[in-house]
Amino acid sequence: MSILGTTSYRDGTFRIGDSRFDATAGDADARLASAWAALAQDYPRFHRADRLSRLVLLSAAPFFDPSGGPLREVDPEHVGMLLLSCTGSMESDARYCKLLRDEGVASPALFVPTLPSIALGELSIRHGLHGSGLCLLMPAPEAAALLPAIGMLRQQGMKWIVCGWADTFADHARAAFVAIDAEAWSDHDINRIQAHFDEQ
Amino acid sequence: MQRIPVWIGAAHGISALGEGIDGHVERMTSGGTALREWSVPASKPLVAGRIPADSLTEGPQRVQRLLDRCVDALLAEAAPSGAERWMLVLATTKGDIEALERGDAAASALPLLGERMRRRCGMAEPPLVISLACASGTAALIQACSAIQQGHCDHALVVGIDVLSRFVLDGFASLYALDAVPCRPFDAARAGTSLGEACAGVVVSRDKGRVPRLMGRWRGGAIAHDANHISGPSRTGEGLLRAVQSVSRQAGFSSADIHAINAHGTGTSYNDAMESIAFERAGLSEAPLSGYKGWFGHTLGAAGLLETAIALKALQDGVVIRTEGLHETGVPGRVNVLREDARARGPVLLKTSSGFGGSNAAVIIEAA
Repeated sequence: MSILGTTSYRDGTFRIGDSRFDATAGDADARLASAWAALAQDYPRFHRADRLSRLVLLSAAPFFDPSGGPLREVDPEHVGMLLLSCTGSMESDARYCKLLRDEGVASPALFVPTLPSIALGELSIRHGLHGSGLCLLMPAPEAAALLPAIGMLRQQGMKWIVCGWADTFADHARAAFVAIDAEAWSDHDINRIQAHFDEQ
Repeated sequence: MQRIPVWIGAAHGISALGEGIDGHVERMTSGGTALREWSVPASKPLVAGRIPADSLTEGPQRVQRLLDRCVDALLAEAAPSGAERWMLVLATTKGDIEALERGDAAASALPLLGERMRRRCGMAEPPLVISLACASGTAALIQACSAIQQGHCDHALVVGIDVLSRFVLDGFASLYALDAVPCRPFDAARAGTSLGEACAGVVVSRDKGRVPRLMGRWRGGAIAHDANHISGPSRTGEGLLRAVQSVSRQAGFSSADIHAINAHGTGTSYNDAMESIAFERAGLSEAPLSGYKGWFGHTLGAAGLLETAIALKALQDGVVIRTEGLHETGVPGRVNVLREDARARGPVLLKTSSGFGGSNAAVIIEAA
């Protein structure tokens, strides 16, 4: 079986496999911070990252957990990353655009995250991942659209893949991620990924 | 492993230099830069590569109309039929970001531009919409060719697009990444990039006879990440080196087999330094190298496709086009940057792109 682990996040409820953490108080940013705190990660950079990146960092962190994460000992050279989203960087776009409109000046700190693939950059920095990766934008989480991308990453020698849907705008933040053993991958496994997406 | 051959052709592109890939090569081998000073409302005057004004590229929804025009040109040549297995791939960084500037956030969602392309093409399946910062266009080409090799489709239409906007111009300005004069990739006096806008696309297919205006044969593509810094490239060229090494392994080529490099070449100090170091580390110091952003600016999500198409067409014509704006090479790695056009030594092109987030993409294509 190629699916090594799953996580999901829905507006404050964070699931790692069958375990669950609820952070229902506060706004979208506060709930994400609570879920991150529950993981007890020593990574201050998380709090400086944009919302989409924080959602991706949170979703992938359990896969690299040194006390049992399925990717804790893998070669980061061969870990690929796939991110699906509809809203992409729209939350960051709106924040940056408001600053431009209200104050007439741009901020590098707000401009750079107006690219959805910045979340892959943050993930690669967090876990030292040098592998291949793509960000795909689509209206809804359609796992079948991942098949060519998973194939491409396998073609480029990726042995493991961190892959998922992350979507956030205004007070909405949802994610569903899987860790994949790319060498054990069968295209039929896409049904398990879709089922995981559908649970959200 | 024996891989299915994939063929590339029917390229089309619209940029500040004009329309059509043949026209781009003609202008680049006979004229000068299309970068001009441009005043953006509420911004300081700057140098940019703006598509010449006409009825299709002015006013609201210009990104959609630009996409339509490029897609129509590709469809007219490729003439896809419903009986064939086509895939659509669209690369962009900001899509219709002007919609957000007008206060319509929902209309700026990138999947909507993909839906526009699907309808224009009259196909049932929406495109894969790929966003990988400034490596988007090259990544889209890699995804399309890989999908054909894996049997997900037989043919693909791959398009990249981004337009100039205050959103992006002010953002690059805030990073002090824009030169006050037309950008000078790899030059000792370079002081930043110049932004541009473009829409460019190609047809790729497993059927050589199905590709109009055949341009080249796909030899491989790879993406790698720096895992180093979110807005600055690796000082050691780590991610780009890995991408180049990976694609060279796929192609079965050594550095001596590369006849021309078309680099990302933004004109920023850090990017061009990083690339020079990566190419030297990859043993590519002698390969003729050029960057095209001095001609029409950095066209972001369209850059990889537009520049690949031009470089391939030039190789078909037996030329490696110079780096516009270069007077004296000034980068830390030893590279052979062309100040003048050169006769091509052979047909093999290495094209690379790099972007924020530490993404790097590299492809090898053999001109037909």
